[in-house]
Amino acid sequence: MILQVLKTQFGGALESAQKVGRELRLRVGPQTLVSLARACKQLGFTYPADITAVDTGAELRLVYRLVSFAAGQQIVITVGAPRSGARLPTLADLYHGAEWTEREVYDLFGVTFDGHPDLRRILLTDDWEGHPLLKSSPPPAARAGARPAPPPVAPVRDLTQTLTPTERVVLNMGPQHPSTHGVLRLELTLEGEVVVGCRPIIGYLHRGVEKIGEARTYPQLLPYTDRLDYLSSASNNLAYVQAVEKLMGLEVPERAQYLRVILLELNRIASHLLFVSTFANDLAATTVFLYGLREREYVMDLFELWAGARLTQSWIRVGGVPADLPDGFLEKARQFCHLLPGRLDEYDRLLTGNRIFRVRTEGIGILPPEEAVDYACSGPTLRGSGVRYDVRRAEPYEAYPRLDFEVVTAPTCDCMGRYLVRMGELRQSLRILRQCLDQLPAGEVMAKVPRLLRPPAGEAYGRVESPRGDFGCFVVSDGGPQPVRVRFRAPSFFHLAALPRMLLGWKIGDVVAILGSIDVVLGEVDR
Amino acid sequence: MSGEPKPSTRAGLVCDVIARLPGGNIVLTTVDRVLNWGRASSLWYLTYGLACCAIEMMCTAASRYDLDRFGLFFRGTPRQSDLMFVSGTVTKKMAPVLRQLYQQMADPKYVIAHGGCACAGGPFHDSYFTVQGVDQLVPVDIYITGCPPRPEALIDGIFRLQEKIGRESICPSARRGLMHVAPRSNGRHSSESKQIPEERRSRKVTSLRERR
Repeated sequence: MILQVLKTQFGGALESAQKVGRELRLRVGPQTLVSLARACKQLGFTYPADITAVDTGAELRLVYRLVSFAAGQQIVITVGAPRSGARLPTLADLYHGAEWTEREVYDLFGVTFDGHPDLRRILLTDDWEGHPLLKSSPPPAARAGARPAPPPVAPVRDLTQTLTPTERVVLNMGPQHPSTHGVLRLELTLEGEVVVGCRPIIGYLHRGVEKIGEARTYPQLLPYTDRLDYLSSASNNLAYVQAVEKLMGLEVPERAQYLRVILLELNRIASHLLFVSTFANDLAATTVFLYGLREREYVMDLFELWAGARLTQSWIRVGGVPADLPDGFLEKARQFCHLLPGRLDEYDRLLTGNRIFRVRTEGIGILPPEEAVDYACSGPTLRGSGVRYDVRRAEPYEAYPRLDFEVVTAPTCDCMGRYLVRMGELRQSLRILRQCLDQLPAGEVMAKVPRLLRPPAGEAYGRVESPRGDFGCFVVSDGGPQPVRVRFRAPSFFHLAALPRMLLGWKIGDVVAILGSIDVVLGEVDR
Repeated sequence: MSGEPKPSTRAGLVCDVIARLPGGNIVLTTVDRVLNWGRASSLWYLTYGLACCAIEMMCTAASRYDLDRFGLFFRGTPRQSDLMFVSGTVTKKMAPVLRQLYQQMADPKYVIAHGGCACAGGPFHDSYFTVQGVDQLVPVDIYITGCPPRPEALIDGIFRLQEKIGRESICPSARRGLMHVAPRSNGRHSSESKQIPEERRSRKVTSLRERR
């Protein structure tokens, strides 16, 4: 239907148009890009999920991914561009969420976007030369032999040079700061105590995982996905594995699907417990920090019992899970399900009704729902603004269609709303976990997978609901044992792009609360 | 102490004088023990979590694997810290910040490279943007490998650091013979001090003099 509308509207300008699964794949030239994107937005594709590029050797393929919540579909627009000196029109005035993603494509591929409000490097240092994700850049190379010379260490820029003789002060928060949840740097412009400007600077944890992915085989890349959003490794694993399984047309056995959901929900519980702990710690409720991490240790015990690792399990592999549940796991998991609700009530008593906590979070950091969608926010950040969108319901995967759970939202659009969504999700995750433990079917845990993974040529996108939001993995294969391009769409990247919008006008003490409430993990932001 | 060059610092001169007095060595070693006990029992560390290892560091400091019982407590500012846990991958963008923080810490200061990435680059050893090991930027006292290392491994590393601090001395000329790495040998402690070869020493163990 939507395809027909677009075909009649654009006719010959569409070089190719086809429907593959949930995706409408369109290919156009650069001159049609903006009008096509505008038409898509009017048709309801208001969520700019991702903008990335693939260097196919012959050309640079720009891939724009737009999602419609109502239609439950994705439009994938591909535009070809030359490998060097490419210039394309920007979509930043159409979608706020395009600003940072276009900056990243400029940084890593060298594509210039005409009309972009602030086109500069985002992940790499400002004085970096070259664009690493182009195939002409050197591949990852272990430097054998003598240790290389240490990099020249330039002094950190002295921010007092930017002081103008008024009351406005530029305050640098981070990249080392107890409350920035990782290596994030915020350049805050303050007038007295009020934030009048904010520039988040990321890239301090950019490890080049996407470039490393091009030099690893498919199974070798899997442990790297754990280290992206390191608080919930299983969701990253699953997004990547989903993409590879789509390419290979693999069917995962039912027991494996349930086991994956158990692992995913345990990861969600662990991540949200850490959120509650660190959020409370930032607001000086240190007791809840210690209590939350105490509960989280039980989840770590379950991971250790099953997968052998506490944090980065790498336990979702192509085809299923590597091994079945060990003896005693079901019993321990059920004990945990009995234990946690009482503890969650304890946190409610300590935090949710606490007057200090309420004053510091209610009404603070408002993100209106339309802007949240325009910035491509997802997960609790989006649901805390009242938008009922959850990838587990919109594009169901694994055993979720057979499970009964609520999508928790909050209408208030503030920090308290986002906190309440996560507290609600903790209880919903327990509900899902109990159902899985009861309904677990017998069967195989791993499909028949060839020893050497060589997915056929093509591209696929795996999408999961991580505790942070919509985590996606875009894999382009040419039939070989190593991927041509691996792209990780991280929800926290888009949330940080929306952060200035949420911070302006609030006091410096609120910055900590707002940043804590969106629960970013810099590992997935910087990759 | 014949054959030793004349000490250049005031502390060195004072120690030399005391050492020549009858019973002077006992005074010096007792002072050493007290100072080392104080430093090792109260290591306040800088929260310098970079990546995944930071989460394990937080878990180690939290309820179950409580670090506070060993005297370790986190401080947000380098000015009040003795110890820097470099937990996670160091990137080229972060490198100058790490150096600046290390320089802002007051002596005596120690660095623990926590996790594979901080030791030698970890899984990202061939990336264009990572620093292969934090010892390219700051001198490291203890390396704890793992990805991420278990909290018990981190605590073990802290114990080894405390043992290393126990081998320090305020007397400069006594330090040279003391820098050996005594292997953990099930309770039997080797009593001879082994001089390790020059190449290994500059890589693995940093003497107090080199760090200044």
